[in-house]
Amino acid sequence: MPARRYGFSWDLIGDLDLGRPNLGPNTRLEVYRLMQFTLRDMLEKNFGTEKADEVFYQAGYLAGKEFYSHLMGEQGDFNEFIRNLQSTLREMGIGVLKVEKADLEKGSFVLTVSEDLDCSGLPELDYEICVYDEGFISGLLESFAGKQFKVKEVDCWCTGDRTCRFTAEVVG
Amino acid sequence: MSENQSTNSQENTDILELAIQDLSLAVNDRQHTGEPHPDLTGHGDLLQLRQQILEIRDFVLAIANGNLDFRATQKGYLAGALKTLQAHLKHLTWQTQMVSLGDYSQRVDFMGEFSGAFNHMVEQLKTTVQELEESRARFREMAITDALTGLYNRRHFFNLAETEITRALRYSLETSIIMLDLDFFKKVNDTYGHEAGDNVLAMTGQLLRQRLRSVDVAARYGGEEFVVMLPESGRKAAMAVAEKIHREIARCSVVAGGQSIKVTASFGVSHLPSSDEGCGDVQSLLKDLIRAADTALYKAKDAGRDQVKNSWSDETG
Repeated sequence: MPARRYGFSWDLIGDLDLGRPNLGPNTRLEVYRLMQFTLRDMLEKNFGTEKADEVFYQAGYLAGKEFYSHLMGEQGDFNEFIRNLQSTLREMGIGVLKVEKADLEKGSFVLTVSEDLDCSGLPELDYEICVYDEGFISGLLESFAGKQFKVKEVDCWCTGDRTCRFTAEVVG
Repeated sequence: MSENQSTNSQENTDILELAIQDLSLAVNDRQHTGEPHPDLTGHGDLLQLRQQILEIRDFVLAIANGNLDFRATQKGYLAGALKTLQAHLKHLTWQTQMVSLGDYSQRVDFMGEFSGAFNHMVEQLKTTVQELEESRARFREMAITDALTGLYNRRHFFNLAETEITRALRYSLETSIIMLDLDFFKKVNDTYGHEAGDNVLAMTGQLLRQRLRSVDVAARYGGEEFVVMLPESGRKAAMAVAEKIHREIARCSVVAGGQSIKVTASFGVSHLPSSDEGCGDVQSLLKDLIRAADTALYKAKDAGRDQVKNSWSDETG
């Protein structure tokens, strides 16, 4: 492992009140997508599709864990977790989360996200692209349940769907 | 136009007609699932479209029949729109399951007019369940409480007392019982009327509720007679409680018809010592305890009323 200059910490989100007294905490979605897809472009170009997807999944996973611990905190039961997650995702303009299936005993879930931050409105590409979201959901679920989850996007705006659908299965 | 061009044009027209006929059947005829016309086999794009239409048709039929588990493999806008409907319906199913488990926070915001109707139904359900629960709590309270004094009724006293005796036996704890009876209560009723009598009973109930610990169990035993169980209380403590209540009742008064009514009460106290045996017939023990307290109460009555007697003084002399 090469020496690192710095890893992620929540401090890197910064003090937005202090830093952006006039512009505030919001920015245009185009800017988010511009950064995400140019970053992915370079990752794929330099390291190949598989590695780029792997990095995106891992980054999403880290984001999910950080999001849970800093923006959600300890949750009660699954319903409370989903309810709070739904409202937080909606309030922050990330997406509209819905549960299709939740088998708590088996650790098996089907979730959908409409108006997704990453992909809604993109042209049809014939393949699912929300790899970052997969990792993000995996990090959230692991933070809540204390178990590892493998999350896979099975339907995506980019494959013609109007909502992104994810399956999540507990690992091991 | 050459002869070859004319032949090709005719063939294309024939293929187009065949394709329209086949796709029309795929859209309109439920039975049409068979192999495509042999002349269409060389037209890959056409066959792919045909396959899409057939699967989307099955998908629509599945949703129409309430089958939400159909796994559509087709991509594209039309299949995607149907998958969105499927996702909405599946989420609605999950929400309904959550409501059935008592989560009334579920709200629908993606099904047009149905959303309003569903949300109204859940709100109504929540209100109704709340009212039912409040009503059940009220009925339960009524079933175990004596309305006049606010104390437990005799039946509920026995339920709680049996539990306490069981606990006392299991953990080898002392327990005491106080029986008290208002002196000359009939005279109060006869002299001042039943309403005044009721007020005296209510005052006694209020006094017991205020002066006893939350772990003590007080009940109206019947008429003007009351019973109190004092968990984890020995003889000395039980006598102190009985003496205190005795003094307080004598000190209190009820006003009726402009007159101040004062009453006194007689008390009998019994005691269950701690035992290492850890078992016994709980009901019999409780009956014996109450009988002993009752006997002591009658000793107090016989001795001139307005006093406290216990069940063990004769034992110890």
